Amino acid sequence: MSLKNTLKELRNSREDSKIDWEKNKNEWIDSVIRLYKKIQDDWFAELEDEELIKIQLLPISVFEEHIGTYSIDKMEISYATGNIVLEPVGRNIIGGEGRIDFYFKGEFSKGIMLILFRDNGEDNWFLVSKQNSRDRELLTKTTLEKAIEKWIEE
Amino acid sequence: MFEKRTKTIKSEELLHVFNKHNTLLTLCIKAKERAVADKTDKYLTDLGLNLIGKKTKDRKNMIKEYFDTVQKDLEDNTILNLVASFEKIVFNNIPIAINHSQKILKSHYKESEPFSSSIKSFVKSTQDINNISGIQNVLSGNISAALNNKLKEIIDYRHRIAHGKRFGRDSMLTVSETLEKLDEILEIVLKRQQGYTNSRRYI
Repeated sequence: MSLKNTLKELRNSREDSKIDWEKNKNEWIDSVIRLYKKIQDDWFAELEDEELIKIQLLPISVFEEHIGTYSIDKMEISYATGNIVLEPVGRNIIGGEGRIDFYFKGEFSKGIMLILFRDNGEDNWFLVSKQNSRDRELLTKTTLEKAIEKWIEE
Repeated sequence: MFEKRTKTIKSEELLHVFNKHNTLLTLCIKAKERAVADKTDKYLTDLGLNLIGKKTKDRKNMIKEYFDTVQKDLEDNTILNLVASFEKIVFNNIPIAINHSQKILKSHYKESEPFSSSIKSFVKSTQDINNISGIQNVLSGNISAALNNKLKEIIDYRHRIAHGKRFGRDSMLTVSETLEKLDEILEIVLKRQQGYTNSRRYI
């Protein structure tokens, strides 16, 4: 291979490794939307149908370096005596591929983090403790309900 | 209520910062409860939160949202304070380490060796380590790779908060984890120093 072609290949591989921040942002927003759909249309559909909870999606504005300012929804789950909030923090997270803060409204400090990890294009959300980030469990209907029940009982 | 610590913290200064955080958090939660209960809104006005003209049905939510932002700021400020205390402890001990290193070099480095007349200048001075990033560079040789990465994450997050979150990445760092990791690093670094100066407690 000539020097010219070698240098061209090196330049192209460097360009490929540049991050497409727009795509990055859109993938993140799509992951959050999929999570909300799972919660509202699947896990908590029955609770909402029986009017035990009310789920709202409210737009918020997030700023991240490289991505800029963008709009994304936070989810509020209201029940008789309180509200639970799922609030996206951002896509660019050290140690993960996205973070949502999950807390009982008015009690942010007692909340937990939902951290996104992607595996072969599939979203895996984990509940991560604020005491120890190694203390984590996979977000499922059961673990989500357990977390909410714990807050309600406290 | 309080973030439950999983390890015993050895640094009195770092523990003091954490205890103040919990005090402020308690006050915040109690203020929120009082604000929700006070239907006259006088207490809210005293706190600087004006809900006059807002719909009654939104009142409780708005109060809770406001106190959530207070708690978020409190967490960020505590992380800043923890790093500042860590920095202060390390900087207090750097002159001792430098002084002792120079003495050891002077007494053990033979005159026949290269640069013997200026061997003390091979030791860093306090001017060389004059900020938190300088501290990180010095410490990276003394702590494990995992702990070094965590220190870098803490320092990067500290810079992010200090500069209005205009740059850098968010993290999963929490007040508890920041406290424990900084304490762990201090214990390693200052214990080694205490191997040289046995009578000295760390400050």
